[in-house]
Amino acid sequence: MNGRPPEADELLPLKAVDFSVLLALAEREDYGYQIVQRIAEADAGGIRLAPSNLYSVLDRMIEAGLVEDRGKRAQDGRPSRRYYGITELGREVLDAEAARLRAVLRSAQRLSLKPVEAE
Amino acid sequence: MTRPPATGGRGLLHGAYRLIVRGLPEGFHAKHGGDLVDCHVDAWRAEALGRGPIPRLAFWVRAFASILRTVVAQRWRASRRDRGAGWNGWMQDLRYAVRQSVRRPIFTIVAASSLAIGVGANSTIFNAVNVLLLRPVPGVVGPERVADLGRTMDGRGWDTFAYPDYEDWKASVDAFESAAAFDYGTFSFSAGAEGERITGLHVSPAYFDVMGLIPALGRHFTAEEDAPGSVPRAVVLSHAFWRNRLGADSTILGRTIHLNREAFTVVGVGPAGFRGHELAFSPSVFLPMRARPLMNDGRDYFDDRGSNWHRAVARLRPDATVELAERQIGAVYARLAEEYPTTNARRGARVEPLGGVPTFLRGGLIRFLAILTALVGLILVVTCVNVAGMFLARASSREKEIAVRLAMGSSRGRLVRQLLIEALVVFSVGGLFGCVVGAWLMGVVPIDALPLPIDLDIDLAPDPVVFAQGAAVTLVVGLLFGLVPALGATRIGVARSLKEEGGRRAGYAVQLQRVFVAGQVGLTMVLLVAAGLFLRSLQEASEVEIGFDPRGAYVTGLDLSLEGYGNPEDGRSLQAALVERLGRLPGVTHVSLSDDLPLDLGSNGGVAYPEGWAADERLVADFNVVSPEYFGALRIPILEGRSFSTEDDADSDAVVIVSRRFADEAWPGEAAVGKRLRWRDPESASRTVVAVAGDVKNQTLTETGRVFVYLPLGQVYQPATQVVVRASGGLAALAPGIRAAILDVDPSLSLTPVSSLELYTGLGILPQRLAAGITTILGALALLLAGVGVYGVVALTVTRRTKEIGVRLALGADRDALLAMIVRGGLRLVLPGLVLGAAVGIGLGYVMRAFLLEVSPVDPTTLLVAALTLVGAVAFASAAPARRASSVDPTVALRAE
Repeated sequence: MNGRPPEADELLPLKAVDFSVLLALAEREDYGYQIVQRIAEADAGGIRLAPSNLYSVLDRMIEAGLVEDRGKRAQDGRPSRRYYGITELGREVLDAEAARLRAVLRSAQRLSLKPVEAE
Repeated sequence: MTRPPATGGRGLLHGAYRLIVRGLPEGFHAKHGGDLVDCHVDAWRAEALGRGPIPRLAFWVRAFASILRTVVAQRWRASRRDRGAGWNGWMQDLRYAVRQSVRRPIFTIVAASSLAIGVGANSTIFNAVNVLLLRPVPGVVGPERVADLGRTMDGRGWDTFAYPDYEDWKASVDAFESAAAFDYGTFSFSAGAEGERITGLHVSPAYFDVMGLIPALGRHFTAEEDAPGSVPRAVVLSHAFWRNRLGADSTILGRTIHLNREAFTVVGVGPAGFRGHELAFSPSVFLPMRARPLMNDGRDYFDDRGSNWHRAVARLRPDATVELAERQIGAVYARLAEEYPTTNARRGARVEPLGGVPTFLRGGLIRFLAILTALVGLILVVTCVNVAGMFLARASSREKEIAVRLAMGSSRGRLVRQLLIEALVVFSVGGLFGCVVGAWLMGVVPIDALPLPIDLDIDLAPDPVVFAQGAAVTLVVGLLFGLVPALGATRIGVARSLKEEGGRRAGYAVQLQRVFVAGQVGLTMVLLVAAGLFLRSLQEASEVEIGFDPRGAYVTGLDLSLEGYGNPEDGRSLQAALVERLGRLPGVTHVSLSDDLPLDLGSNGGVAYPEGWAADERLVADFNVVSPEYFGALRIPILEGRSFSTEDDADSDAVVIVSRRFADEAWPGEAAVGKRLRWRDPESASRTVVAVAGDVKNQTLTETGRVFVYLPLGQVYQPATQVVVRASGGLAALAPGIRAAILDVDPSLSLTPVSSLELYTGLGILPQRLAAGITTILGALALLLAGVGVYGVVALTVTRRTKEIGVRLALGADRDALLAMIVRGGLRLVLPGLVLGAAVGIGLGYVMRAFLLEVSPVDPTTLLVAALTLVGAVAFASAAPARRASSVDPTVALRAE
């Protein structure tokens, strides 16, 4: 970090796991294990992350200004947990990455790529 | 922010996890440490709490591997970030440690090799645990959603299903996305002149969906090929069979292959990487379930609710659990029990996650591997204690260097860190070496040489998880056993140590080393007791009178029903030709055919109605169908009467031979020969007893003689037989001749490999043989290490006491008395370890009870021999330094000041 907040484009392309975390948090803010479970679902990337890895990822994303700590609270009778949410910059980066992926996918479709038959 | 989680997450493993979390860099720990632990506890509740031991073990292995990785990665990041004095200091210590290790190559090599043994043994066993229990079945897509099913009786057991039951529950259990029936098969595959015995599965079309497979070529089976009444002649080849036996022929689709002399059209080839859903059973071909009658003499049990014959697997819906599936299937069985009380009363089903090892074998395997894990854990601790002792001894020779550094203002923490890094370098070399040794061991395990009746095709190659485990184990023991000597060595008063010239007093380090050696002796005792118990089991097993002589007899299996000899007339004349042809081989004295063999893990049971008994009384007996020379081939004595002969055929009087025990129970005090009995059916024609044979052990070594009935093969046709040839010569010399002779009679026959009867009947004690081999090796290693440890301590003590010894000698002490004193000192080290080790050994004996044959966990002979061996080894180890001390020249010793 050198003082100036980064532009969304400078952070592209995103790592797959960062994309999944942003996708999950764009829907709603959430806490540790819920995030692990939500990004493990197939439509959120199907990424299986151990709790310890999650916090390495969150630490990095907080540092990059994509995610923010929304404080600790108890909800629906569950034990108290720290919640994380997406920042404005996070949303911009998510949009930009989605657009980038769409473009990549379109060029793949143009070549009408098919799965290769197994040997 | 190092608060504990709000609820749950107590216990030793959680404590260890939290301890490792504390190892995160300070900044990261302050920001995320508490939340990370909370998240881990949430994961534990969702993924492990209330589950079986395997999912729990898998959870913890994953959790520890990932937290250790994170700690290392974050520390690395943090140290890179503040690349300052701290990092340089660590690097400086590391360089110094490497230099120290290189400068003392003997020390480094001995310590590292000793650790390599400990870590290598651990890696090897952990690899087995990983391959057999933790690793998902190779080739199965989404294995966590695949379930294995078994039928229960009164909620117990794990058995085969009746097909109509399967169709009923398949239709109404919605927790399953798909479910499939399958059944094992052995087929005779003919390519060219010679037949070949291959294994395969009959499967319903959904089998491939359950396993998530996509064919490499062609297609899988269709719904039409599963329609009632259809007899589809389609076959899907396994990828390995297609590649290895058919040369990966890309034009194979549509071709015909012959199985059991029936023609099948190849419709597909399975994906590479899938070798069946059970580790020990790799099917070469898949046939439609509905083709089963073709391979089974036309018999068809698809509509028979009374016949349980097939197994089943299923894929769960993404949102369904094993418990839900079990509840739903239970409801179906409850309904069926009401509708069909005669066949379905008390029936139910269990659903278990799919594992490479069949569910019914898993319990015993887990117990066996748990014992082995405990034993290799012990040897690891023994090697670590040994190396820690070596470091301590080295540190005590560096006492002065340490004292000088402390005096010059170095902090104790800094010195501890340096000694710890020195230890870690050696531990890492040892750990790395151990992992390599472990991987090599896995490569050379002669798994094919195990005398098993099935074709084992298990990929034992270690994966990253095994190396991660090896690294984690090395790191943990390195920290633990490196820290203790580092703390011990630096606990000296500066002034005292400098004043005392590094010398006379038995310092704190030596005290600590005594404790180490005592601990090592104790652990060695435990291993010796375990090895002793298994060896005694084997000894008992070899002394058991089994009633037949497997030495010098060779066996191969032959199933004529697979070869187109369904007609008894053809089958009988072929069997007669085989016996005649094999009998002409040089050195062969007896040739027999029999339905079964004793102690081969299987047996036949039936009921007899002896003459003179009440009409409703019957005698349950094992039975075998045998050719005339069976008793000679197995050397089972005929005690009275005559053996079967070729005259005993379908046209002659029905005859039978009974065992001694049968005769005693059926007609106590009377001659059995000449009596009559009816077999199986009280209305059947009676058979005359023509002989009484000696008792044999049929199922287990621990049984008393079986009640046994022998029927003549000439009167009861059996297409599937074991061929036993008694001959002089040895397996390697005889096997090709036996094979050639059989193929000489009919070149298209397919045989099982020729093996010795000794190997075959030794299957029952395979676990004991494996365990005895492993524990004996580990016990011998531990003994060696304990001897080295004792030698080290005694030698050090003697060196420190050279002057005292010199004084004693100068004052006229007897040299022999002095020698005895020093050896006694060595033996005193042993006593506490011996007692403690014996106690733990007895405890371990109780845990291993299920694997001990005829030996009590508290076996006085074993305990005595183990204790004497240990005391002998210690006396031997202390004798050398003691002799050196007692031969000291007093004048030289006194000048040593």
